[in-house]
Amino acid sequence: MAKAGSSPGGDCDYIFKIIVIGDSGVGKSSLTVRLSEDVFYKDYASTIAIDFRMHQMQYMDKRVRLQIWDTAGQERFQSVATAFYRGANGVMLCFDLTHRPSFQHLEQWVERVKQQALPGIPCLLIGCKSDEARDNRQVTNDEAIAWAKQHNMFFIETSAKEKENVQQAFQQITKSIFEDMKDRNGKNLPTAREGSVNLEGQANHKEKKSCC
Amino acid sequence: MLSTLHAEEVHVGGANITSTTGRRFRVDMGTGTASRGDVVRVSEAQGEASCASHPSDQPVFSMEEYLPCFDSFGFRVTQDEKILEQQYARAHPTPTATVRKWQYVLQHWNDTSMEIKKKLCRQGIPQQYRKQAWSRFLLGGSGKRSRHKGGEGGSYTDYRDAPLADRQAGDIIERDLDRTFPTHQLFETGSQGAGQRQLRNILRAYVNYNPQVGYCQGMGFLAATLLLQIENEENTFWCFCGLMEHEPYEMKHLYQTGFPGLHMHFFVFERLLQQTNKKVYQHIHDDHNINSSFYATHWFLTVFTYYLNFNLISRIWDRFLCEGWKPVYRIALALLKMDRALLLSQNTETGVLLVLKSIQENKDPSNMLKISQQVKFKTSFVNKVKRDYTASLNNEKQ
Repeated sequence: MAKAGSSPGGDCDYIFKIIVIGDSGVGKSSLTVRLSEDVFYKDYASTIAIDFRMHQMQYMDKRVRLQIWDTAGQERFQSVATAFYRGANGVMLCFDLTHRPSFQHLEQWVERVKQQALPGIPCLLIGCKSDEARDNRQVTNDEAIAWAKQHNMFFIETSAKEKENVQQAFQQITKSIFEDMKDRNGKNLPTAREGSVNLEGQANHKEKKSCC
Repeated sequence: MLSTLHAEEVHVGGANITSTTGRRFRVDMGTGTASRGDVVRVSEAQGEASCASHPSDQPVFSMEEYLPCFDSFGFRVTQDEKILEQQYARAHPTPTATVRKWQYVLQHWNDTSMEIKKKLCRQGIPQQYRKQAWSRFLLGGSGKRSRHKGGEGGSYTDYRDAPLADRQAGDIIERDLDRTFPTHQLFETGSQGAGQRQLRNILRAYVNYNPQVGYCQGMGFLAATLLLQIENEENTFWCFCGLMEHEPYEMKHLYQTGFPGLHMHFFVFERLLQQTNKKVYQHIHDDHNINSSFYATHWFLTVFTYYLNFNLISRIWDRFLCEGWKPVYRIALALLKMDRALLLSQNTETGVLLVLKSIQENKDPSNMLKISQQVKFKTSFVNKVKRDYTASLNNEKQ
């Protein structure tokens, strides 16, 4: 119980819920485990349906707690993920730099985000396995950037194995969520997502979240 | 540090050894000291523990340190864990009477009442008889139940060798082979060993056997569990079919598109939790809006094979294969019961979620099994809840 017992309460100013999506085996779990536990597992079991991870970070002068929902890549599990899309404040859309089909499937993933998540939700495109891409790259940096631009996202290449850009990726999505929050408050958009089962509680874009 | 851990683990029953996923092993590749394929530094979730226990004055890079150790089922463990397992086995030999009872039951399978089988399975099937006993449960008494679907099924090799109509299923199977029991010597990551080949064959064959259900992530853990006990590939395939297709297991309903069977189990489990552990139910579900799909999905989809130690998995499956889903609910309820105080002391959603996430870790197996038997509820109640669930679905449709 060491992990759970290590005071999961703690202090924070904001709680953001982030859903991590993308094809099976692109490296979603490795990315989130590197962030939350700072390790890389060479032998990691497939994620079944959904997994939860937590990360506490500092953004500017704010203490932010990220609730990260790591999803299974197989399409069939998308029906299980619906509740998590609805409650999310940000999306990390992942593909494998060494596996072109996972890049080609991005359109389908974006479509799901449009259907299930808050309209205009901040998204970040992540090219995983940049270490392996040194020898076996199947998606160029330029085309990934172009795709991200077209879909109004930032793009970042990460390596969970070599600890490259992992923190930066989560800093970036946090930044985007803060900016999005500002925008929404400015334009006075509706904030509480009624009917968002399960996850609504603290996942409110408008109000400052007091979590503890 | 190690000696304390050691003493505690002996005290708790010795089988609290490792998990099937290897998630307790941290392989730190961020240090740049190890290259891919080499043996890398392995440290346990709580403190350092290498495969060979070495006093700190010994050289750090002794070869001995890197010799892999495996438990009796073939999972990679630390040397301390290996010693614990051996000590436990020596301290708890299977009683001769139990062995004789099982010999008798296997010879008189159809004449042995369910009550007797249930009683014996709750005590645990001796490992040497699991292969036979599990096959009997899964294939029916005659051992032929699944072999022919609707009387005109094909042979195993037909199903295995036919091209897959669903190419995507084939791709996902390939990607999952490395990630199913990755710490087992037969399935080890990057090994492309015998276990991975057999697993591929079985999973592909099932896609052809029941294309409507096809392949879904999680099935691999079920098939691999059976493969480790049944051993023979073809027999494992038919046992897997029994598990997916037949009462009382019918796991195909859990994996079908939309996961109808899984949602049914969630519904039943939540009602049982409400009934047997109201405070915890209210805390998790009402106060923090966390429903069972957040934490119990892999409990049901993989029947606890995703996390637990394989010895414990086998004990749970002895009961599951004999009795059906009731023991699975019991184990799930026992987990929450064991961590009741810890759960209730959490006052944030994140806190509750983190406890739930690691709730299957560091539990004493014999205690867990014992507590699960103390969770009381009636089969008639479960059946009523199932009827309520079906009725509520029908109402929704109308």
